[in-house]
Amino acid sequence: MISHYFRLARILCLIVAVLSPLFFQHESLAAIGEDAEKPVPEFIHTGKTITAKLIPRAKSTSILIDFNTAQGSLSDVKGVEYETLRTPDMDIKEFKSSFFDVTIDDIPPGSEAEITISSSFFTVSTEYWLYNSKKPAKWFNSGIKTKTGTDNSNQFVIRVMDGGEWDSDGMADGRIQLIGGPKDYFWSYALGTLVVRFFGVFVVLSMLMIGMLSAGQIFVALEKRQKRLALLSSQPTKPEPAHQTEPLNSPNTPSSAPDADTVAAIAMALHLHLAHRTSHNTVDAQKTDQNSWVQYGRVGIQNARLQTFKRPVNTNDKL
Amino acid sequence: MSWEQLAELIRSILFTQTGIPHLSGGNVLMIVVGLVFLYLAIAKDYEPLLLLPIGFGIFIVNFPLTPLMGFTEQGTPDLIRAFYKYGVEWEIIPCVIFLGLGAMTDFGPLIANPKTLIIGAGAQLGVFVTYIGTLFFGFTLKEAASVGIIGGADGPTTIYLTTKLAPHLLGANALAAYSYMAMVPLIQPPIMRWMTTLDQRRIRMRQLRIVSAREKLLFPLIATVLIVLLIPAVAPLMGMFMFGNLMRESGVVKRLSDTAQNALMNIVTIFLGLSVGATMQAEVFLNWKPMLIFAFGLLDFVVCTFGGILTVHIMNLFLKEKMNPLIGSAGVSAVPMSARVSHVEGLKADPDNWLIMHAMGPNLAGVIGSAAAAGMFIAMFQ
Repeated sequence: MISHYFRLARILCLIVAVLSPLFFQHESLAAIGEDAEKPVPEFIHTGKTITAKLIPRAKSTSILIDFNTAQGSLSDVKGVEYETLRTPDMDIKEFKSSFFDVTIDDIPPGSEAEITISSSFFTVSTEYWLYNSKKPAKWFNSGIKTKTGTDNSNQFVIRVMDGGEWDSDGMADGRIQLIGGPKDYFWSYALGTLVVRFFGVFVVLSMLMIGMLSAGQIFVALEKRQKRLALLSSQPTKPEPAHQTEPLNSPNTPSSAPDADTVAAIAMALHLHLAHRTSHNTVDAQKTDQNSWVQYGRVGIQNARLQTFKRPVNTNDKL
Repeated sequence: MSWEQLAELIRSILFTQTGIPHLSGGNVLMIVVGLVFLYLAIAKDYEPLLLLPIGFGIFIVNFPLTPLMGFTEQGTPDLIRAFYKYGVEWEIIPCVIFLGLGAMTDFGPLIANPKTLIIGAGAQLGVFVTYIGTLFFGFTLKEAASVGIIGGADGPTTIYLTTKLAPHLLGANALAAYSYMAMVPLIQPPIMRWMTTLDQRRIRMRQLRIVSAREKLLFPLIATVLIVLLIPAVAPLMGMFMFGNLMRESGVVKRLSDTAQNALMNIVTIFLGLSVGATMQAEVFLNWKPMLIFAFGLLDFVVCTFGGILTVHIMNLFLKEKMNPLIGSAGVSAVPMSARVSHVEGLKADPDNWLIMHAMGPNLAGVIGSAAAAGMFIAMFQ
């Protein structure tokens, strides 16, 4: 027991010892904090709509986010580097898409514009956070809930006043600049999906189990049936009706049927006994007035005897 | 040619065409790491089929200026880069290995006792616990998933998932998975003894029913239908696994089945091992993450073993015919090592109690379970 633990510890120590110098590679320290999944949006202009195409964090496939406005003209949408707007209290993993800088021109100064941001990637729990460098808390929740759009995507409809606190340029100049990004709480997503997916593995294997149990029962039933049929086919022909009253006449019920050797022995014993009572002559193998049990037994015994005579000459082969 | 020209030529050859001046501390360190894994494979016989090519891959790729893992100016991949690109990056080799595994696997014990599938699911506990654990250490969701799957103790699945989600961790993940798989006989027994009483270890299970050839033949088809319908993302792995098994059980393509089990499997194992080892170049491998991956890999194996045994204990609360909880540890899919460990531990408690065939059920369920978990992760990131 002790040697077992010692062996395990020795191997672990060996691996740790070999890999421990990796701790002291100063360039390695960057690896943990590096943003390996930074989304890089590309923008496509289609009529009045600007669409951002990007691979968000924790995804392998790209998503689309549409930006639109009913007032003025949507002059530009840009992706913003996380690091430029990052504050110490924010976790970049919660901003899975990107930060966006949306600019709307040609609106009357001081008026309001409605910006629609929609994507099938947004969920009901997604929030849209906004950035304003002039506010004490630079990042804040817009408090706007998602709505289901016409194409079943979820959309934020954000009303921004030119020169208001959500307008990042802070001036009523006929231009609105909205900086922000969609936010999903990382840990609630990570833990939620964890539970669902672990449960999912159980569901999948349970379904497979049910399928296999059902298939197994069908196969077992089929095999039993086949065995029963095989057993029946190996039984002697059904005795004649005249002898059906005899006690041994129940070979058709497999559960009570004796095996062939037993039947042969009983049949032979009965035959010898009856033959002795009626005649002292030798038994006639061709005699047909015996019942089928007797014949079956005699044939079996004779066949066994015949094997002796069929044995190859001058050999010691056992039969 | 003057002496100066000659000296310059020699200097030029030395500095641009030999590796010596370019050999860094990191290179030397990784060469040593490669040699250690070669030692473990050759001297200790730990998963030699994989650790030997992986070790040699680490060893050779860390010599500077070697045209092995790069691309030429024309964009043609170097030798091992080509193996990696077309075999691993294109996700071909793990699936071909699954084909071979399917052709080698007799699902009889699992078909005879399908309840053991639940143990295979319970033994994935470590995968999900590790997934959360690594997130606390700053791993991304994709990286966490690829590290978590190590506990499934299924090399091809680990490689397949890591290639899809976090290819930069491929070397560390594969190495951790195969290293701990080799150490299953050391890791599992203490946990098994800790989680069971002597009486529980002595539980004798009823002999498994004989499974007909027809039933074995239909199993891969039924399993494919159910698994691929529920988790389409795992179709490449499970499809090949079940196809391999169908070839075996059909009995009509013995040559193909033999090739999948032997020649093909051996060929792809060579390329897989070399490719995985070659990803561990000093400049990409030397950081904290491999260390953490090794630590979490061990935790993963421990929790998976715990999860499997715990599942049997829970199932025993509801079952009329109790199962020996030792077979729970075989839910990690290190086939057949973990089943053998269950058997050996069972024999220690009762020399007449043969658990090997009972343990093969959860062992095979573990293969399906870890592939299902991988499929769940792939679907999550799609």
